[in-house]
Amino acid sequence: MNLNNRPCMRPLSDWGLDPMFWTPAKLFIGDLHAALPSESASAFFIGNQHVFRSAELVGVLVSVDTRSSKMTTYHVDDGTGVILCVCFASPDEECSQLPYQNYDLGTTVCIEGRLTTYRDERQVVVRAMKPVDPDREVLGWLERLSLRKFLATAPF
Amino acid sequence: MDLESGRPVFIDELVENPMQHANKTVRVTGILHAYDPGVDRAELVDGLNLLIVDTQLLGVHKYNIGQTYQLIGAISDVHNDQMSPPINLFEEAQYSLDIVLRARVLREVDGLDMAIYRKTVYAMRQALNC
Repeated sequence: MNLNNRPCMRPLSDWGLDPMFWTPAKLFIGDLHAALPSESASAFFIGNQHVFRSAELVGVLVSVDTRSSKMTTYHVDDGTGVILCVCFASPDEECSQLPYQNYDLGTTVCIEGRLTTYRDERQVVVRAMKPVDPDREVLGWLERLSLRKFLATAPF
Repeated sequence: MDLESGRPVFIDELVENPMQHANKTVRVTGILHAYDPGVDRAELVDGLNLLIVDTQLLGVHKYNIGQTYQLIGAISDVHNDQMSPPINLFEEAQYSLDIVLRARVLREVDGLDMAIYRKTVYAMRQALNC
């Protein structure tokens, strides 16, 4: 089922009235790629005129690239798509001599972060990231299916 | 870097229609039946269905027979004469020597409820039309 994404016609000042605007949207990676970017703000439109800025995704790490002591990039695959997730080290971790924690390839993770577009590529700037067990991924898929149904039918 | 997403499929679907999934990236779940480090080859079973896996890209990993694994990789079609039949094969096993999974990501999924996983994947396919 395609979500038929449509841009929100309400003025910018009303966008905060949509609960989706304030919460990390539980969406499939395929839907994050399909979301329409807004011109005036760092927000995206999905489904029936809903607005969101951040997303929560559950998937498997299919690439891990430690660029420097300040940043690690991950590619996450949830079965519907692959998205780049950029994880910056906290100031404490930057000052520390110890390497900050990276996750291994194949780890199932739950990531919460801000959706952005960088060099024409969708990416998530990670705010929080934690490993989860495989059953949590299946539960995550069901939650996303449920939200999709709501987004496609209920208008903002 | 362009990475293709691994669509969840089941071993029985791969055995039934091997060529339908050729050159596609898939995510497969099953129990490790056999592993031969000499030729980088593993065998994954789900019920009575068996899939041959090329583990060359996975690097050094501890493989435990009987453990449940999930693999992401590309399905490659191979010629029958290149592939030797599965080892320690149980009776009534269904397998295909026409395809091999070239796995690039491996994860242990012990404890995964396969019945719920299967139902969820079917629901996803219905909802996403894929």
